[in-house]
Amino acid sequence: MALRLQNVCCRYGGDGPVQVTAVQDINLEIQQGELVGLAGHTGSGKSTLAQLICGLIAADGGEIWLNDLCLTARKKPKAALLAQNVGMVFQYPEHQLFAETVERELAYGPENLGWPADKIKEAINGLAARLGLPADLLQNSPYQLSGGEKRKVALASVLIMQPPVLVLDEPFVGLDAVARQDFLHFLLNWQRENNSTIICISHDIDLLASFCQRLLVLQGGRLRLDAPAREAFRQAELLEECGVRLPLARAAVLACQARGWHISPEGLDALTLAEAAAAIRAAKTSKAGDNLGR
Amino acid sequence: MFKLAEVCYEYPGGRLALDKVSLQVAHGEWLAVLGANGSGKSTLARHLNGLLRAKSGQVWVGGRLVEEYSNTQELHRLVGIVFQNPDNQIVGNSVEEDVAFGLENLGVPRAEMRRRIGQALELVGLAGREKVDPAALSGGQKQRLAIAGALAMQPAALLLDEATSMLDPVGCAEVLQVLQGLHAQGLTIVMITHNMSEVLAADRALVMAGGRLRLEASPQELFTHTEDLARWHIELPAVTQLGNLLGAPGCLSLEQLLDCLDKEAV
Amino acid sequence: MGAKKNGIRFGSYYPVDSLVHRLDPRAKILAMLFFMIGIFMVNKFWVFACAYLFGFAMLALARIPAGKALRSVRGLVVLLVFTSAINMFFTPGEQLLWEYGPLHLTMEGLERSGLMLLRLVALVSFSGLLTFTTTPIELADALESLLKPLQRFGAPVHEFAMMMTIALRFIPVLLEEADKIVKAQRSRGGDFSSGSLKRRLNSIIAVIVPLLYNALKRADDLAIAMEARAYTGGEGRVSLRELVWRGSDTLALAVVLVFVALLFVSHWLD
Repeated sequence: MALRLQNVCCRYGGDGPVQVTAVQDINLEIQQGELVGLAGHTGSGKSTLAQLICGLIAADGGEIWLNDLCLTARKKPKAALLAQNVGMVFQYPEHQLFAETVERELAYGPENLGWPADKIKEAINGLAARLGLPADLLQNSPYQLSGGEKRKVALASVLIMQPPVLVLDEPFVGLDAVARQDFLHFLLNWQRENNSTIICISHDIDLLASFCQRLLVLQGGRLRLDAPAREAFRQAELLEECGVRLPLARAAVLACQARGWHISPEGLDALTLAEAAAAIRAAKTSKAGDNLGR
Repeated sequence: MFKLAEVCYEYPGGRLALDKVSLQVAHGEWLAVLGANGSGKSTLARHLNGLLRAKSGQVWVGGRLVEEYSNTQELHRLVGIVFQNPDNQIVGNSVEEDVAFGLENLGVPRAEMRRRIGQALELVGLAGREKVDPAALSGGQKQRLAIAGALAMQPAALLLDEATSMLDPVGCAEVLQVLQGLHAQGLTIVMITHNMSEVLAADRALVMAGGRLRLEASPQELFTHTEDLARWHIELPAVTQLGNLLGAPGCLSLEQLLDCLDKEAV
Repeated sequence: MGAKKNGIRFGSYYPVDSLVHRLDPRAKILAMLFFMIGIFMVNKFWVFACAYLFGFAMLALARIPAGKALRSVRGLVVLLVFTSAINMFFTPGEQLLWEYGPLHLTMEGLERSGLMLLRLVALVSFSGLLTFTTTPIELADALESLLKPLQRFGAPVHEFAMMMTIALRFIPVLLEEADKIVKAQRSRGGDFSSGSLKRRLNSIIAVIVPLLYNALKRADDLAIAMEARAYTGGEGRVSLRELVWRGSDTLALAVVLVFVALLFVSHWLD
């Protein structure tokens, strides 16, 4: 098991009179290699949960285990140990890029972990090639890169440490269609090769539906839904209550069904546009057959 | 309201940001401008309220050449603008102080200021929040506050430069609702956006790429130009993509798509 | 979205409604200035008793708990102990009580260090009468108004006040940003509290560079946004916030002035 949370809660407000409970009673187990989507309204506690998992804020109660590492133990794990176990990529690359060159930027994490120089060099070259960053770009300032490239460098600067668990906070916001596909493609390839666990926060429910195997939905700091993606999207009412809409693919097949088309049971669970199109096409042929038969 | 004739603009360093752009926007029209990053759309917006001046070509605002405005304050008052990052355009330490900022600069008397602040906050649905610290507002509320700040100056047109790109879906919907109300009251709106529901709310849509106008169409027609849009890196709405997969191009809502398919099946 | 674990409040404004809170901030600044000067003139224990009585009465009027005012002294304990010690052991005098090398304790020394201690504690705790009852924005407005005459000599008074206002507005924004950046770098193993000096230094740079970059970007954006809202500087500007000098302000200032005059008189009493 990669990640286990038991009765975790966290409050804001410090010693002040106004104490806001950010998340409460979270119980969760995630296996190594799972692709998990995390959805919910702004203020539902998504970011708090993500930062708890990464050991960036302290829980006020409950236990969090990352493999054998306990994040809620009295003695907090050191940053370097934490970084070997979990990586977090924030929404804005501007919040972390700082070095004079892309190469130095990528080396920062491994240096903190105390890797030898030749191992770092090798890892940087390998990763840059996989990311499609030209070799001469490594000597450029990260601030000169395009928006999409900055995202990739920010992601790579965490991936280079090969954390088994990766948490992404709104990684796709502000990227155009091409850059987004490119980013997602790389991320999924990485996940497959390294069997990483990925937890991805996003408001783009169509995108989450297209690649996540499992969906978590938070509302008011509580975990309202935790199910395999196809199952999760069957619970339209619960999702609506939490302010999460259905992915278009599923909305489309449901609408077809409502108009009397015969969508197959598998078709009703469509998560991608391609699946929805296939299901609707199949229904169309059977409907055409019906019409002929009459 | 706006007229541009062969406008060129060059960034320091020689990169051409606008390349002979000609354009007209009527009073009360809602124009959506689309384009990939670096296509020149923000530069275009900044020519409409005098923040940038064309290297060549002419820009008319409200029937007058921008050079004819003796002070740029008047031009800024006439055309309000809301930017992308909500935090980087709020000056005041409370909601009412921020709305007041533009009015303070124009030297509007205090009683009139109070009246206009009340009106503007009413229009964006923030009435009763006068004393709130902007830091306590949500993203959508902050952008509505920024809109109120522009409206208090009683502009004839409002520019929105990717004003919703940092907001969550709820915030986007709030802003869109406010804009629809303002449009109904006759305000001219020029909106730079990636958000499809905002494009669909407009009267007309433009696509920019490489500093040039590439495509001009009604929002309904725009998304039938599948290949052109792909070339300029403009994404189709998910419904339209699904329609394309099913051989029903140009659909903008599920209803429309299903009607199309129903017709075909019969 | 910001995951602030502790709410941070800037300044020490104590939000209750009181006579003192409602006074014009200019009256409060002037009164505080005179009261401070008065405190420096006090050279007798019984006069200090009166000054403290006056101060505590004012605090009561402002509905500020006396304990809260006295607590602000805590940060200055080291300074207080140090100055009292110097006064106590290095003041020459006739009534020698104790001696060791260059150190000598005299009656005069005791008296002087006692007065000095009372003076510093009074200065620190009663300054709360201004800062607890006046918001930073009011202070900026009042300073701008009081310093206005200097504008004739080219002093950038309006610009200074505008800077204060903007700084106040952006402090929470930048704090939240700093929190995000620290977390992002921690996620990459950045650690300020352990490791070699070089690594720690590098970790600090990794936070400061993005923070500066973003702050400069914000400043740039804000300058354009302000220009777009017709900002051209202080000339012809009308502030929404208006400072109104009432009869109660004159009265309050007069009371303080009379008291300060008495403190002056007491200085030369035997």
